[in-house]
Amino acid sequence: MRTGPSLRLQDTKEYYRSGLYIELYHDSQALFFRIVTPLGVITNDRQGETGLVLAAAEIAQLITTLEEGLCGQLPIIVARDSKFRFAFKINAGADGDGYVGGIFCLHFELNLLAICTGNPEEIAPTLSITMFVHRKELDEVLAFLLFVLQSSE
Amino acid sequence: MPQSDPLDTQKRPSVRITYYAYTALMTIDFRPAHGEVLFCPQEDCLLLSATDIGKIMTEIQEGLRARSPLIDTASDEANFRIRINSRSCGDGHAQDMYTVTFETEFLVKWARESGTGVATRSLALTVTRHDMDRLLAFLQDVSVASITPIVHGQAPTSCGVSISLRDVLASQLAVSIDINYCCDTFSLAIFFNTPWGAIEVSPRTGAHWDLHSLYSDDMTHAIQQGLSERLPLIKTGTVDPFFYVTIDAGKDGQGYEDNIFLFTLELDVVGALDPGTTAENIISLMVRQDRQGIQSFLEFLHAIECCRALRIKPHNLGITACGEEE
Repeated sequence: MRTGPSLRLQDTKEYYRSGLYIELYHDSQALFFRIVTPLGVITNDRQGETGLVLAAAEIAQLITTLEEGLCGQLPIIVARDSKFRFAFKINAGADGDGYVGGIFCLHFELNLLAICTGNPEEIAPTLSITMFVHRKELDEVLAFLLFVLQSSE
Repeated sequence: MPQSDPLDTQKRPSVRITYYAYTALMTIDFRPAHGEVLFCPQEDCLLLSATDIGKIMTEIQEGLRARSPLIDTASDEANFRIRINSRSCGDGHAQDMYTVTFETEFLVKWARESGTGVATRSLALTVTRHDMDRLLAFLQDVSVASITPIVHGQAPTSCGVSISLRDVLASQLAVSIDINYCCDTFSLAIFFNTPWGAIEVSPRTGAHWDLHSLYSDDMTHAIQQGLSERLPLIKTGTVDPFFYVTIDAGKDGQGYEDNIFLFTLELDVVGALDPGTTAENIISLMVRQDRQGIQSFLEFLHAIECCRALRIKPHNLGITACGEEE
């Protein structure tokens, strides 16, 4: 039974048809992910999985990076945990306010080696999901991380 | 492989055989001396399997080897017969000549009655030993084309060529990109394998790409050129279907430490299910490969192209009777 905060990210245009989404939730001080596609599911939400344990400082750093990038309208924002296990990468267009129609390109990356072995090598097998979202969804990512931070403290 | 020959239909009788390995259909044009085509390939096709063609080829080969005066071989599956008469002790004439009779049945529409019937058509040609060898080579080619090729160095599968690109520095992780190209159905199955599950982009999971725009030759060329020019980044692929390969070869284009290249395959999972949609929902997996791994991928692309060429391109044989008629 999940009790912690959760987040569901879907592509703004395609999800009705594709059934593709990313689900994140925080439980027992650990982050769990589900990458759901019609062609298969990749998830650490299975029996025996311990999830990605995140320290409060680490979550705070993620929030700071995202906030600074979005508020400062940086064209590219990369927020990753200190152990290189996962990252949010955002392409925000040249002006940092999104592409046409206020669309942002969001990449969610999983460093498979770092997650499995704890070895924080940056160049490692990586699974990446790309979807197009509005600013609203990015604010939801921030809200989720804030909620995670509060529940971790 | 012998390609189509210009047929001298104005003066001498000839036969043109076309075989489509993909559909296992054969058409035959009988062209007698005055050039009138008696057999319409668009309407009358013969269905001959690789086994059937192989049987015909073997019987001709054995008959020639045994110097049989008459070789009579026929398809078990379609109304198609070849008779070869050497008319001597098996060596043909002094000039090594043979009489080859091609025979088949086809549907005819009766002009005055509205029904149809079956008619037998045959044409005999006097040919040289060289033409006999061409006929055998043609049968050999089409029987090979009909059978799924297995490429050296790659794992054979039930119907095609395949490759497994496993991360070379962390093989214990069970992270790999597995690709299988099925020559029978022209379909591509791609597996992104991770320790937490797999994404399978294949007909089995609903993906149905039009792979005719997957120009594996162009991709091969782009990668080979990028490697030879030591480009730091090689990008190649197709937009529809969205199948994109990126090879990060490091600053000097010779790979990172230990000769490692970063191989990334990007796929549009929505586009795979709904062809024609824009490439937006992309899933990519990056694995570390050595130069041998990249080379294996090139061989895989080449195998796809060979497979398609063998299956799609029709095989043609034209045999014209030589000047010495019966």
